[in-house]
Amino acid sequence: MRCETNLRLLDAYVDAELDASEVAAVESHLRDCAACREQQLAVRSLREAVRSNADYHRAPVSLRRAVLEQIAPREARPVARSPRPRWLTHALAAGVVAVAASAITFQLAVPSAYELAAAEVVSNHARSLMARQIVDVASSDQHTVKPWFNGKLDFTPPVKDTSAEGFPLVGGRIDYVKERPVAGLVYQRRQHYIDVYVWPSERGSSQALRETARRGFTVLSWSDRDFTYFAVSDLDARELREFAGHLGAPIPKS
Amino acid sequence: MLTFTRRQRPGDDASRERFERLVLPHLDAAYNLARWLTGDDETARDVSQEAFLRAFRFRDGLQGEDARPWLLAIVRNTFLTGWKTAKRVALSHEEYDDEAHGNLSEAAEALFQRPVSPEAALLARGDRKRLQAALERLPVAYREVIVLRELEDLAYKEIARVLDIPTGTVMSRLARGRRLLGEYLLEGGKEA
Repeated sequence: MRCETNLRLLDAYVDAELDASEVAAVESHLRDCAACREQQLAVRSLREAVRSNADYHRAPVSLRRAVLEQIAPREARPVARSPRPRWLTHALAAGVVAVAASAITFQLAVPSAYELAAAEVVSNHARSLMARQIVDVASSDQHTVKPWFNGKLDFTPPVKDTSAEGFPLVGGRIDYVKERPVAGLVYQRRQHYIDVYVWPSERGSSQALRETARRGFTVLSWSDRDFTYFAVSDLDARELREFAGHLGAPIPKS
Repeated sequence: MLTFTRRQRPGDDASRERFERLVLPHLDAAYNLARWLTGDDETARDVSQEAFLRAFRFRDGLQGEDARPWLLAIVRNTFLTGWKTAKRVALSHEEYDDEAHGNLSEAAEALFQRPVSPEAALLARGDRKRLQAALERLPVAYREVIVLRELEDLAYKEIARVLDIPTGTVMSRLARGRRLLGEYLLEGGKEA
């Protein structure tokens, strides 16, 4: 292979996007050509620098709120702020009927304890994302975070370090779910935060994994004999399940 | 009354739930791309919000479980079709639209001959501001492909879907984008 051909394939090689025969051809050329080897290292190094150093712009909270409002069910949609979108004006008349109907729906549907807890952890998580400080104790070390809870809770939560699996621990904080203080552990995946709320299992019974989507967040919950876990994040559900698996959640085999 | 409302909007809850589960988690990705395309917070916010509205309206067009490339394509199209700068952007696109149209411009071809210097990579690593400025200076056709690859970690195939170009074009555009980025890094603070 000539250098010219090799240089055309080099980026795809570095990105692991070549098929096996192309990889073999590039690698055989690299063994013989010092200049292309150096070029390969430079591309790799530039790629890593962009990945770790370029700004990742997270959506501002106001945008998240606006989008949620936009797609909320008509019955639940708050009175439109000005300027009111055109399509909403058309929808308002229908909305009056829907509101009357949904008032009955809400009275009939009593939310379960699980649904209440899921709603609460989502609110807690969303609130913490808006706060300047998302943890009370910031540490990626489980041996720092775990003792921090001593004396602040009437139980010692399990704190697992999953940084090797790509979910580094950010820290911990005290939060409230169902009017009791619980352990809040914060993990990170790329630019996403994951909150894990932990409290002692009520009847000491285990509970299979449950998954809910709420306001753009995914909530996973499960219990073992000792603890109940609620994990919430805007991470996609598949990755959140992977993370929950590392914490010992009973992930059903798919 | 209850049955009446349900029957009135069949399948609505299910498709909304699916949208919330599959599409909403990519709000950051949508905003990040919009921000890199537009270069300012306010416009990026408007573009993302409009894109989500479109995505929601066309949510039945989403196939499979991976919504990110689908949503990012909508963000990009919203940007290209709806905003003032769009015309200028579309023009600069054409200028760099290489193999998609059959021939490389001389300047684009020459880029392959100039390797990335190891020094450029060092500068990118050590000087965040310089890297940021160099990325922002890149023509949008190169900038978007680098953002999708490095910041969103999309595969070439997914990038091809977002940009609606062949995978081979993704490959060459990314390669040339990196080389141009290398040059801008070396030039540093100098104006274009």
